[in-house]
Amino acid sequence: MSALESLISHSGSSAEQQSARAVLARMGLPNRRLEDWKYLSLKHLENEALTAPVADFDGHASEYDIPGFNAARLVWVNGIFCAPLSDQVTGLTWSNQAQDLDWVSPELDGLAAANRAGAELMEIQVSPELVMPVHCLFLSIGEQQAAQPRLQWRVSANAQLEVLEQHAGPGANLVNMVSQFDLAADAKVTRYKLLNTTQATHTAHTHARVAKNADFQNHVIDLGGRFHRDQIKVELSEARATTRLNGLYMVDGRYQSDSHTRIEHLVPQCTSAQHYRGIANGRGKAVFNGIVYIGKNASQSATEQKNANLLLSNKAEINPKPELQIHNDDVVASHGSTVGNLDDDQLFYLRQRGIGEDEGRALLTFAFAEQIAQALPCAPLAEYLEQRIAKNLPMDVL
Amino acid sequence: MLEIKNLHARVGDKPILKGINLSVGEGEIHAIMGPNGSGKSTLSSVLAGHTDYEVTDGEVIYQGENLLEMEPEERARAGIFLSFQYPVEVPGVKNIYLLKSALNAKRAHQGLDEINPVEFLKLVREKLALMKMDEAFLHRNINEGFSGGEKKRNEILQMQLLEPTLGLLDETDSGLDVDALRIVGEGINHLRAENRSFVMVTHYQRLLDHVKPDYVHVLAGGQIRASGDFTLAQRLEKEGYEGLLAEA
Repeated sequence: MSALESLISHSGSSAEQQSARAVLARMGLPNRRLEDWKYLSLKHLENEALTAPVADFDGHASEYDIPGFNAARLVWVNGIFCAPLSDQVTGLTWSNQAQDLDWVSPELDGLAAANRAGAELMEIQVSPELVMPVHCLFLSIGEQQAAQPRLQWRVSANAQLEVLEQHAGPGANLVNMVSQFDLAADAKVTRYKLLNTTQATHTAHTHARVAKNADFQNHVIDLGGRFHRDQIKVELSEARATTRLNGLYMVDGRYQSDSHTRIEHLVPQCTSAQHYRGIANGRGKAVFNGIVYIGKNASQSATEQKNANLLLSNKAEINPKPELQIHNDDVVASHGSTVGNLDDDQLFYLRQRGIGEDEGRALLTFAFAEQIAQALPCAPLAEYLEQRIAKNLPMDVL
Repeated sequence: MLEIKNLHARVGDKPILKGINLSVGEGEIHAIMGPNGSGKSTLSSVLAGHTDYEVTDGEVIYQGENLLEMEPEERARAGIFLSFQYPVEVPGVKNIYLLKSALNAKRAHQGLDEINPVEFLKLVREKLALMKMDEAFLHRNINEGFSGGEKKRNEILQMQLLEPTLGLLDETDSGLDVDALRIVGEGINHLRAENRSFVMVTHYQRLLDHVKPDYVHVLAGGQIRASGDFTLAQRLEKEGYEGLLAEA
């Protein structure tokens, strides 16, 4: 049995789920013939049967806490929400009875269809009373389970949400996630997505819609794993909506990381910024595909896109594809993408101060990633990330 | 301390140094002056071991050792410090990290333990005060967003901390206003010692008004064309390179 056949068989019974199931059966899982899947494939799932998930966890969720990040914890085990392991907090209410926003269409790709067909929707409402950060912990435990969380955040006017979405655990599951963020006027969301699973196949679709004066910030940190794909779309749908998408992906060994972003400026006076950095070593492969779309009506838009990549091995591979699609003249836009090795002048400078060549290389690699860590608006998380980046290096650089 | 004999070096296919001979004794300050493109900066880069330059002939003996066979970091640990003409920006690495790593690399070479953090901070504060630099500098990324003057001061700060045996100062005066020039000059003078030598590469005389050299050499076309004491620099100021070199 293949992963596809398993996913089809796990579909739910509602009319919408059955219709998504039909889409999945028709399209199958994405393959490299699709433009968006040109470089990395899910071929390894072809002969992997997936079982229905079981929320079986006898450890302590606190093991996965980030030191200094004091937050209300919500826990999912293999894609299933575990209320007994989760905190109740003022300003946050959840329900599994909500109407699906359906912004991530099953027609988008087989994974979107599989999630719609098999997942149970959880809606989380955020009100202005929420003052505490939220830590959503997605644990992957066990082998070859099909974990398919589906989340819908409703962030009401003037509410502020700071959320860490952490994927962790040793399980070799498929984690196929869909997240939808609905930001009302003047809302602010800062989301940190930390990919900390090495064995899981992680695929995710995120769709955010940002209303007037609202701000959506997304920081994705991919510390490297068997297969990680993060696809996000942000719609700036009312005046003065803003977004920032930052990302760091690090692949070594045979790890694969695939980042796809799309920012849409649909109305005047919106601002977006993006800064993604990647490091590939060993036989690691990474893809960055960043599209900024500025519609006909979106005058006085400002957008800035930066993507820098460090290629540390001649067997590693990075495929960057920055793309600006501008249909309005009254726009300030910049973009740049680079792929390169470590800077020789910087390395010589360090060596001239007595720092050995290997340590100098390690330090510059750390420094490259550090620029994303420094931009995290959350000190405990930045510190955690610095330590994690430093850990992958051959010597102590902190 | 330093013996340079018939040194030839090129960058790519282009020969730049064409037979340099220079002897620097302990405690001496030598100024290397010369017009643009004469090879002044190449000389200090070659001595520091910059990988862009290829030595094609000649030898350099530093404290009895063949300098050209040493890696750049080995030269640094053996006491050679290059103050860069264009100090490199290293975003993502804090100044304090560089200072500490550099000092500890040198101490390890000398068979000493790592410096303890309290002692280190005390030492750095002392040097910062000398260079009239704010402590905030320590926590900024190396040279990132520094003004030209701040970068040069940062170089001398590092030199203060590392206390080299041989200081190579490459156009340290360029990009400095009068006040910064005085501070940098004082920083160098403060380090003058019987067992410490300097080679100062400069286009103008103005740094030499603050740091008086024992010897002045004029470099042109990849060779030393004239040598003398401080009065040579004064003659250069009056006659210019063309006048002086025509005579020589």
